[in-house]
Amino acid sequence: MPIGIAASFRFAGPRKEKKKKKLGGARMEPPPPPPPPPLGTTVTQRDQWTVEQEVGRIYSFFAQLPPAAQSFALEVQRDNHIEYLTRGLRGLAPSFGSLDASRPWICYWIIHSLALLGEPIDAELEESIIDFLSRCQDPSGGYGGGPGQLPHLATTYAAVNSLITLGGSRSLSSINRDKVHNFLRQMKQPSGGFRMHDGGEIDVRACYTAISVASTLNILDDELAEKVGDFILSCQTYEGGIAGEPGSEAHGGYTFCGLATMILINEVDRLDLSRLIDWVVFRQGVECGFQGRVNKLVDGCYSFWQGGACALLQKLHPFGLSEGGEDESTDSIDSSLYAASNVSEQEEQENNLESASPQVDGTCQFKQGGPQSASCSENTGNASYNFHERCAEGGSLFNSSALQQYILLCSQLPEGGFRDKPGKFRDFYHTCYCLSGLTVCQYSRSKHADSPPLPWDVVGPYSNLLEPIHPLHNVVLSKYQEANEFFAG
Amino acid sequence: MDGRRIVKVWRLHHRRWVAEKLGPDAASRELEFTRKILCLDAKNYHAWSHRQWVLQALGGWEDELAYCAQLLEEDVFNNSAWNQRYFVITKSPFLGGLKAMRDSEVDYAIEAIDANPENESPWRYLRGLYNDENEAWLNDSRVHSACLRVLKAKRNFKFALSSLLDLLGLGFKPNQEIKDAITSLRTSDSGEAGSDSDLANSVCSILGREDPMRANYWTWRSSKLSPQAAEV
Repeated sequence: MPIGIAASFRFAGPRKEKKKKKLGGARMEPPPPPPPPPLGTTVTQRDQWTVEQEVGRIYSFFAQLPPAAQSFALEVQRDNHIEYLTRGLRGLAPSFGSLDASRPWICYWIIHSLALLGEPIDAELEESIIDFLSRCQDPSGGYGGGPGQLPHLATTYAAVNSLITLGGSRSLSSINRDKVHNFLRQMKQPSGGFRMHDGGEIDVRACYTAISVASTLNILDDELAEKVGDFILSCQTYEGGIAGEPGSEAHGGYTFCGLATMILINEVDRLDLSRLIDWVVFRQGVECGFQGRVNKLVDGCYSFWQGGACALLQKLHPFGLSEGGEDESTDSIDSSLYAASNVSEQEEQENNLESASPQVDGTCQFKQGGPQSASCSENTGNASYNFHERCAEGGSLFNSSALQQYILLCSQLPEGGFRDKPGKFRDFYHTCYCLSGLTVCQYSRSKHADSPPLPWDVVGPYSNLLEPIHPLHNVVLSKYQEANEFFAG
Repeated sequence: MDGRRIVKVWRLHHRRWVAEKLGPDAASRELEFTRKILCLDAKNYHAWSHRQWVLQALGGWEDELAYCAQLLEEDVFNNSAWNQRYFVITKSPFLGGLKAMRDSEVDYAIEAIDANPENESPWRYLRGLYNDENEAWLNDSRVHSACLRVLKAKRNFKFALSSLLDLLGLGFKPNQEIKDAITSLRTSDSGEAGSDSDLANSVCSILGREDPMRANYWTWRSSKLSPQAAEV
């Protein structure tokens, strides 16, 4: 930390997260009065100092509240968030001038947020969204930012995730998988990466959006996956994190995208995981939230990008000690995968673990018979389907209660919505990713992907509990499962 | 991923397309363009990636190291400038590559560390200079000397300890001075071992105390220590 204010934030949360917490969240020591910024400081130091002051004020105010008020301050303001989100969804139709290219994104941010809060969407509204997104579909495949706009990988990802989140056969069958597949193939580059759109940029985010969509729609094949790993590997930087393009700076958003993609194509062990883990865990600062890059400011959205990356990494390495106190030696990724012991018998039959990798298994019927072949589900998407079943052993890699504290006290607005940091305005993007980060935290120590967390894993009242997500796609787990079955044919 | 950022990226990508058509003369104009953006926002992600694209596609490397030095002079915490520096020393056709540049860059990074040991950027940069060459990293005495200096000052030593932990994990054999410096940071906590054979574990314990945000991570690192590393 640039300035010695850090000491004042000493977060006195319990080291062993197994201790039961009192209602009102983790204990903190109120910071001493802030000194003025020292002379001769740099822009980074001054900006950081300013944020620390602001966040410090919030935490010290919280610390002196009586328990009942603390409990209230830590509550997820469901009703107000739902109202903010629903108004936003209704307002989409006539709208949003400069964000015209991003309406599918706004759909996803809002719909996913409502799903995390467990709030169903009114049937009529749902129908109009499905219609709207259908009109964003390009005749030759993929989804654009709005009707008549050229298709784009990011908006395709947003549209598909929105439709999956809405669920139901009308929503899911509105997706023309053949055409999406064609679009993905067109965006595929010889280097292995993907272009965001025709003539667009090639980066790690494009890879993620393409592979994630391919996986959820069960159209991920060797052709799409080929050399993606090479490209992403070339984007892991000297710092340990992953950049958008080779040579660029390690960045939280791209780190999540790169890591998730590698897992989906079963090549995650090619990354230098120990350097990656080291980089990511150091992104959580004294403010308790995550920053996107070294020496940058905390931002609520990284609760998901960085927190989510940690959640993925936890599942790859046996993390923490086993109950017997024995040392968990580092397993190979393969043996960790096959050791995921809680896959039900039925799932085991449906998903042949031996042929998890789309690259290893050459008999994916998709290539022969098209996307409607039922047996394709046995081969593609396995990495994704089984991944969320893995156990995160022991504690979480990041400080889950600290992050929840930041999200609830610094990002959450009592009147509804979430923001980057104090002093910024709320928006749907931050609402989506703060809530996504929150659910990641809540389930970060759950043995199974959707088993309810223990009370002390949820900061604030237990009613704060959100729906669990599939950590690779950031879609509510039950909706992912419904889609997985639907697209299996 | 918000709407404004989507537009920015598209515009810069369009500039690439245009610059490609115009050829090498476009280099200085594009570099000047990104310089202006970076003047206002020295960490602008897309300006930096556009700048990197310009250098690789159109050239203009000659002044880039000096540009990084200037930015770091203004703000030594600017991680984007450190990243650009790494890009330049590894890719510039005028500089001979990472190995040729390593020696002077180690000195540069350590100077920054000595001035501000709490600055994460030069620590990661220093580690990056050695990349996969663990032997060379272990054997560069400047690295562990820098760690020692920071430990002895007893302030802002989190990255120094973390680096030592990484070194120990790779088989580094610390001298008595380093062992003493670590010992002097112990408290009488039961979590911190009293004997030499648990030096790496000590380091983990100290870190667990000094860097509680990453308490779980340090516990995990401790559990991953090879018997070789633990016995020093």
